[in-house]
Amino acid sequence: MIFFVYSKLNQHTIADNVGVPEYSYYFVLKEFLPVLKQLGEVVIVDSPDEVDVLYEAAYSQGKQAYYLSFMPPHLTRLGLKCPTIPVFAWEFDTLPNEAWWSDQPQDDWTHSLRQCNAAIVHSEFTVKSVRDAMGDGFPVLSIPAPVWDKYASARLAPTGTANTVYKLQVDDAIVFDTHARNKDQWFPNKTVLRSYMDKILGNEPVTAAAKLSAWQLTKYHFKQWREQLAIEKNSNTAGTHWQRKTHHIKLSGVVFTSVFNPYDGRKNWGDMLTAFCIAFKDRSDATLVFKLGHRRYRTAMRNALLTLARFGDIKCRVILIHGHLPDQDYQRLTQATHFIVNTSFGEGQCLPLMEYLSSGKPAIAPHHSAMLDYMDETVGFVVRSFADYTAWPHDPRVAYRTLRHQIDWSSLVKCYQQAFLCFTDEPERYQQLSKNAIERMQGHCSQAHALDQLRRIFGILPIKPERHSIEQLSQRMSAEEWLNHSRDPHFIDARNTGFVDCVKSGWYQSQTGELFSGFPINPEDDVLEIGCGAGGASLFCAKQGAAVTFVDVNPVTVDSVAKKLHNSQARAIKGIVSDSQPLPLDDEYASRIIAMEVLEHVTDPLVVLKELVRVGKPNALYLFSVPDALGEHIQKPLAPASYYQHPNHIHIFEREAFAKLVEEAGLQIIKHDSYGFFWMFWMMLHWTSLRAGGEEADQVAHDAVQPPYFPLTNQWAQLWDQMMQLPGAEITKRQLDNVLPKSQIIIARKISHVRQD
Amino acid sequence: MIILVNSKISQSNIVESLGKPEYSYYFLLREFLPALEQIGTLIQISSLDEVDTLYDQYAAAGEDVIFLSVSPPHQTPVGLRCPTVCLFAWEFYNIPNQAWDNEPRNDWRYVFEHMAGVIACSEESAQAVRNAMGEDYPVIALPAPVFDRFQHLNQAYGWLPQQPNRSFEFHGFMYDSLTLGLSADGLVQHMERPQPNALFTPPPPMTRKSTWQITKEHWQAWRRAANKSQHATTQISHGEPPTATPNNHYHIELTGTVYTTVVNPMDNRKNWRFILTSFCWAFRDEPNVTLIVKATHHDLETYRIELLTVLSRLAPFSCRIILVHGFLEKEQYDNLIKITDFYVNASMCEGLCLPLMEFLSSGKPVIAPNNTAMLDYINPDFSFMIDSTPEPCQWAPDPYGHFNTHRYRINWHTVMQHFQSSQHIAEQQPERYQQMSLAATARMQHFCNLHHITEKLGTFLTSTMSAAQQRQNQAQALVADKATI
Repeated sequence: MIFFVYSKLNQHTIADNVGVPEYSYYFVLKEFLPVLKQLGEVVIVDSPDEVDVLYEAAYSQGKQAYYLSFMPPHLTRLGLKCPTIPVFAWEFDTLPNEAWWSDQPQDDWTHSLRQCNAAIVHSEFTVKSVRDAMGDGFPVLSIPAPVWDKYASARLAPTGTANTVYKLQVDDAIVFDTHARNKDQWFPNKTVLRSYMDKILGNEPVTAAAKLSAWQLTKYHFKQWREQLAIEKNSNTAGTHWQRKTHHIKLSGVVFTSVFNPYDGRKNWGDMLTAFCIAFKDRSDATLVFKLGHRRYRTAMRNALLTLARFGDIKCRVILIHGHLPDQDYQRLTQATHFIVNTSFGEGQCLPLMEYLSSGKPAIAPHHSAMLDYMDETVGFVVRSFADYTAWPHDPRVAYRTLRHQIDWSSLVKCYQQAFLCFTDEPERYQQLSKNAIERMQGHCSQAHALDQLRRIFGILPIKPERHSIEQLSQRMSAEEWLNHSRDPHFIDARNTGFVDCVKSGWYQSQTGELFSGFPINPEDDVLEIGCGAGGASLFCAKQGAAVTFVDVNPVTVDSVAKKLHNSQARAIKGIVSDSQPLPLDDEYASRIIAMEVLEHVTDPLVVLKELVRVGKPNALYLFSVPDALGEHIQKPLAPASYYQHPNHIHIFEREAFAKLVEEAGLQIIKHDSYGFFWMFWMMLHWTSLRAGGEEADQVAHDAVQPPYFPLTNQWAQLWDQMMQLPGAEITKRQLDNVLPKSQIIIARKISHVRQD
Repeated sequence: MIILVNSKISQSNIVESLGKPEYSYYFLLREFLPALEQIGTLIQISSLDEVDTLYDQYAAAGEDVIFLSVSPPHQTPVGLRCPTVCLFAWEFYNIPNQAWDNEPRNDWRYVFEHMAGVIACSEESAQAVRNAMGEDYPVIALPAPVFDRFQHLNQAYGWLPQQPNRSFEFHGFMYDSLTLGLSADGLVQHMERPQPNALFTPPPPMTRKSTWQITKEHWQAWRRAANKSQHATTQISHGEPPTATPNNHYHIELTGTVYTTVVNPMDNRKNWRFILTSFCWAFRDEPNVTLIVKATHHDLETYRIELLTVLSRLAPFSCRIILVHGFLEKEQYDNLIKITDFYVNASMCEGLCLPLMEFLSSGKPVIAPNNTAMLDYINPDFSFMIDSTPEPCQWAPDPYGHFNTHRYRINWHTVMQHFQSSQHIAEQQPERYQQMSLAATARMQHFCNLHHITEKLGTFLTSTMSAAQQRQNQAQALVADKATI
């Protein structure tokens, strides 16, 4: 199996683009890589444009390939030949099911997903949203990013006490620490705070300026100018505090950490910060670490500092860190952390929360959206939340169509305080939470779990559900379309299904060497097949090493079968052009005599049968198959009249009559069987589609009908194929084959007393 | 007793003042006037300078004089000779105790030290004063006595929901969602299509703005503003009227369940977006419900675009939303109450909430949160109570925005559910609605009838004044003693 994987950002562009829309998809892709590599070959593509070229190449080598687009559905490339599966996060209770621009139908995710073969999401909450929009039949599976395994060493690290000091080094970073000695140099002063509040409270007299006199206006602008100069001095973002450098941080007491993109409005860092400051305003041994990721970190950090400034004097410690932490430092921060905090309005999965829980760090987080799958009071402290209206993030209308979850701020304060006391006063309970978290996440986001899930989706992935218009149903696709269609690894070719069905009915048993069960072919046999057609049976006998004589009225057919058998294991081969009345062969010529779908075409079947008896050795075995009468009668109103005229089926054999005929020819019946419901029904659908399209019947038997086939017959092949995968489906098949078979089969023996007569 | 009263806003300028900060003090004073008139001789002053002059005159004539300042404490005069009582409405559990901007009155404790007494409009604010000033401090919680003014609207056996043949008339301006042709898609048709694969180029290193740059920017801003202002003045001097709010006559027919809310859309604490969104969520496919939003702001333009945007974002919806913009005469307001089945309030905090009390006094059940001042009168017998929990907040007048207090975060989900359950009662359980109506009347009659409030207010003012006089006499005696010595 080959996976072509894509996300908008890659290892080269990620550093400069942390925080751009869809940036986090790259991190999810990274986590999936090791698991995908266990399943097959992984090719990271730089652009969806590359996919189909690679796909064609893989296909020509007979490899199954999938395009995994780590992008939301509306940004996933649609219309590729390669089967496409978007892998996306979603945190809302409804899927976007509207498009606001007629030229951008993909914004409607139901439109996009209908063109995909399946979807992989990261929570059961999202699975439900997808099913609600797409119907229960749409293949969608939740596979959280497998982050658990990475934290094996973190899980082993011992948890210190509140007195343990952790030294953390962060390189190339910007850090603000409210317990730092130089706080006054960068912490927003009163003028800065006032100007900021004027802005957010809308107190700026700008709108009123039109009504001011010239003097008042000048005074106002003079004041503004002076203020701004003062602000620039205090909040100088080009100052040394704002330059990236190496910082050494000592962490002790109880450490709460949150890792997030501050421009992601859902993250709701405001509540996280304010509740912490209120909960621990009198505690200097409580620390909150914000690890921020966004290219526009300056504004984010300023806003956080301004929020802090609104508290006046508080004792607790807040540390803001901006900078990409290398894995080692990130793990050290994890180690120094006692609780991971999340107060988000909705999560598609939340990697940091999953990572910290996987490391055994209990969480403070709400129980909603993706967190429904793993967050509860056994792994931390659950923040209360309630539904609130919102819009889909990529909807520029901001139309209110879905719900998010607002945080109960007071409950967040309580969670902080309870968590603190749990760590300081109830170490055993803390250890238990930690242990529970590790176990919970192993089941939720380990590689083993992801692998199981992926196997599930690639193992049973049906082709995308198709629904055709009447026009489509009664038309065959073009030869080129058929070719494309048949390249889809999920495409089921009726010829394959039919062949498998024949084998299940008893045909072509290569293991036992039986052409049909009860009709063995041995190397010493002399086989005679009349009406050899495409030569399938002759070829099978040749492969068993027998001497094969094949007869057909059509010299072209004889010639082509001769070519097929030319290099086979057959002891000898001989092609004869004859109508078998009589056969240019000696008496007692063959030990195995085959006439499949022949007798219904000939004027006097008894004459032919007697001729066949003549050329049979004593005890020779005969295999006859003819269309079953039931099937022939049923098709009568549908099939063209020519179907029942010369050179087609001029006889319809009732089962008993056929048996009598065989016996009359002097043979002893050993087995009378029937098979081929699949083909019978396939033909019915073929006739129906043909008539609906007003098309003249060209061919009259399933093996003569050439692709492209009609959509209904394709779907029938797929449906039958799926049914046959179910355990016990054999019984269903058997019953249907008895009731409505395509053909009946008789195996008979030439009895010696005929010879004696 | 002579009672001097002031309020920043008077009858003559109330229409233009609707929605401005402190406008509600006018209404507050108006509600207390009937009570005050029964207690003493009322003199409304137009300027604070008059207070001590009048005090001196009447005191000399042997009259008891008290000045009732109906205004926020930090705008209440201190240092008057006349004993002063401050009457204020406050929506937080504690009071400002910091004198920002070098104004000592911003620390309310300073103001209250100079008061003869304080009248708060809710138990919560009265307790806030006691917490700051001591349990013995002369403070009383008195709601505005609104009941009597709406008593006539009550029905003997309580209101029934969905009264037949309802209509509403007023002068001003109206939006009706039925005729607006709202469309969410319409908001974005002109917009450029996003480029989904655009990446950021690395941000340029930020440099400090030089003094020169800042000066230049402000110089340019000043010039632009100066030009604009000149332009505006020119227009007015040519006698062209500024764009006036339309003043049309409207007649609206109403059916089904009618909800009403009276809000100032510029006051975020009123949470009008929650009311609109939860209403539409609850009744997206229900044509037989109407929400009337009576806006109390003098300037339609301050909120018109935002309101239309919110409605467009909610569209399509089957329920009906009507915006009423305009000053309603008493008769029209009474009629608004009559046609209403439920009043809705989703405020994060309230100092009192007169409209809520007025609808309740008229026997109309409500959807409202039980926080702050509403704790004094809301109960489940006649209210669908919205859940709300504290969140940090600044005192409204604090320009530094310090998180010194809290307000209440409204649980949107419960608002939405209450819309649904109240509609169910209106449709299916008229007798239950009737019980709620009766319970509302009974509660408000007990809580804010004029007689009851007059008695309490009279007692409080009398005792406050005598205490003040006693203190004054003692002080004079002290001065006299000192002089003797």
